[in-house]
Amino acid sequence: MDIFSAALSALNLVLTIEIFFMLLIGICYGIFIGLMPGLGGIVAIALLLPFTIGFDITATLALLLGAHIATIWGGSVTSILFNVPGSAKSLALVFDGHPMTKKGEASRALGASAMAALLGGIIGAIFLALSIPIIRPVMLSIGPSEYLVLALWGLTIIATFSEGSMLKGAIATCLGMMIAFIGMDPITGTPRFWFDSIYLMDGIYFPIAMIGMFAISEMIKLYIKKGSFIERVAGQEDSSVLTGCMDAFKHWWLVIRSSLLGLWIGVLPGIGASVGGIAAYAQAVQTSKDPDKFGKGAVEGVIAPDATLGANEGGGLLPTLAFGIPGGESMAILLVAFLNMGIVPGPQMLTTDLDLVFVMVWIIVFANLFTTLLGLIISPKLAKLPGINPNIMIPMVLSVCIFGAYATRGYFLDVAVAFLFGILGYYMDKFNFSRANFVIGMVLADMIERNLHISIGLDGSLFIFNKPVSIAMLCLLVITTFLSLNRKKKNTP
Amino acid sequence: MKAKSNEIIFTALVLIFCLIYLLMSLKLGPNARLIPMPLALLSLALCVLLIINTQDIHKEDKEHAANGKREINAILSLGILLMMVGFIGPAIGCGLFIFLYLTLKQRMLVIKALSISVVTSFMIYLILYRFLQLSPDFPFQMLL
Repeated sequence: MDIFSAALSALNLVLTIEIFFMLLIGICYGIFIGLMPGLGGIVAIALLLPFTIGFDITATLALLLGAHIATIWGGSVTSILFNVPGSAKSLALVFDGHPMTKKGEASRALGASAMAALLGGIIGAIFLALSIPIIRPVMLSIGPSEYLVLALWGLTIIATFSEGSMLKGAIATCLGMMIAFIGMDPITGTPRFWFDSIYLMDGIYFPIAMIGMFAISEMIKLYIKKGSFIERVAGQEDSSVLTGCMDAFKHWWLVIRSSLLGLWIGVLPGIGASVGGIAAYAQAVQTSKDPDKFGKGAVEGVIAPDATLGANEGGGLLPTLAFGIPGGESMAILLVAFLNMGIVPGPQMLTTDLDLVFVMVWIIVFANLFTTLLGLIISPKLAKLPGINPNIMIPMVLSVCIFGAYATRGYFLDVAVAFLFGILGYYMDKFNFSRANFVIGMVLADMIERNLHISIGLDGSLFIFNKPVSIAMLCLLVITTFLSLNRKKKNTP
Repeated sequence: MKAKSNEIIFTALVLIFCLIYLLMSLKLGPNARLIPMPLALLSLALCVLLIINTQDIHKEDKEHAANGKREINAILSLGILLMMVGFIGPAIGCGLFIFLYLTLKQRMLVIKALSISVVTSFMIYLILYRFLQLSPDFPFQMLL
């Protein structure tokens, strides 16, 4: 079956009232789950799975993919409005999304976020369809040493957008990495820095640290500041949801770049969308003519991660379907769902079962479209939430944080750890140690360690020079780091 | 000078953490300490460098320094909330905290504060225990 006829027959299958109804149910449910901190696409799909037994494959896919895609936007909303990342994926949105809310531009940020996610989703789906014939050799050329260079690139990029002292930024990054190494060594299985505690042996769970580091610390700050959550009342500013939508179109080149990056990261198994969002943010900073505006409420800092997250889902589907290798955590649970439905992943998915792949591509496109439409309708109402009196806001947000920390794994100690991270985050912010650097260090630490061990095991200590792709990526890393540092030095008064 | 000394104290605490981390990493095998040990060494060096270089007092730091009492209050409030959650579970603990905070801090009408806290408690209970079906593991397990 050729690509064009597969795409048409898939569209024919998707364009039915039943499928659209399932899609809408999935989207409403997904937005609700996404708005709950700590709960993301994985929980959303896991809870839906038992209800899909007996449904037609296309309807089930519409329900699951609709819910999964909508959780991403739901997570973006809490990041932007309350500095509470709904999941690890939407972490990068707190860097500029929340400062926009503080400036009274919540509506604009939500509009830009929804539109960027839509454009990212559509661009991702189109490129996914076009890249099906060439994706296999590309995937096979990327190994652990390339993943390692990619993670190191992420770390070096931090230096370009860490505000203030680079020394403090570096300490925050190291601290984040050190916290991430608590628990089992991924290769040898040796427990590290665990103080004989079974809880610590599992390591510090990343979403818990995020809830504390951003949301709880922000509530402490708000309590101490005594002022309002935002500097101006949302909804009364000269920006609106429409302005945000236009921003996404105005920065079309950034949207395309970020979408392609999202697709690429989605295709690479094991990287995960949380790294994708950070990488998108980093490239937006690096390519901006005015990198200093990032972290202070730049709309580009919202557009880039959301476009990447939108495109990432399409990219993640490809290795999941073609090789049975999930592109990330949420793809792993989708894989279980596919197997439940009788969809057997393998190379035949890209040949004989191509129409099924295109059903998913179309569902992704429509899910993004409906999520954005729904998002744009509810955004003006949502944007008013941060304007609530801080004395009501503080206990409510703290309750949501406790709920989120507890709901992720059901451990009381997770709530206590979230509080500890909240206090640490408050003091880090007070003394200008970048919290963003801390969490990025935490995200990338595991990827660096795992791939370093595998690379040394496979190719010895000079592994990096054994593969042309990793040499090329390393050269790119050195050049971009040098240019970024040079620019930062010039901009420093 | 208070802001400067607070910052130095914070950096010193980070330095102590790095030192303990380094000592613990020395006890690990060569593979397990491959990254943690050099990372701890690097962090130690960076902390020392920062302590030596800490000179300027930022305007923002001065503002923060004036809020020491409120900082202690905030941390104590968090501790109370954590205790309540530990004793009576997140559903009732959060509701009670919201009620106390709204009536004592916001001076809200008791009936209004009660309605908000009851609704929040009920929502948390519904999602955590009915929808997500989590089983409580609170240290004291007085309720729920």
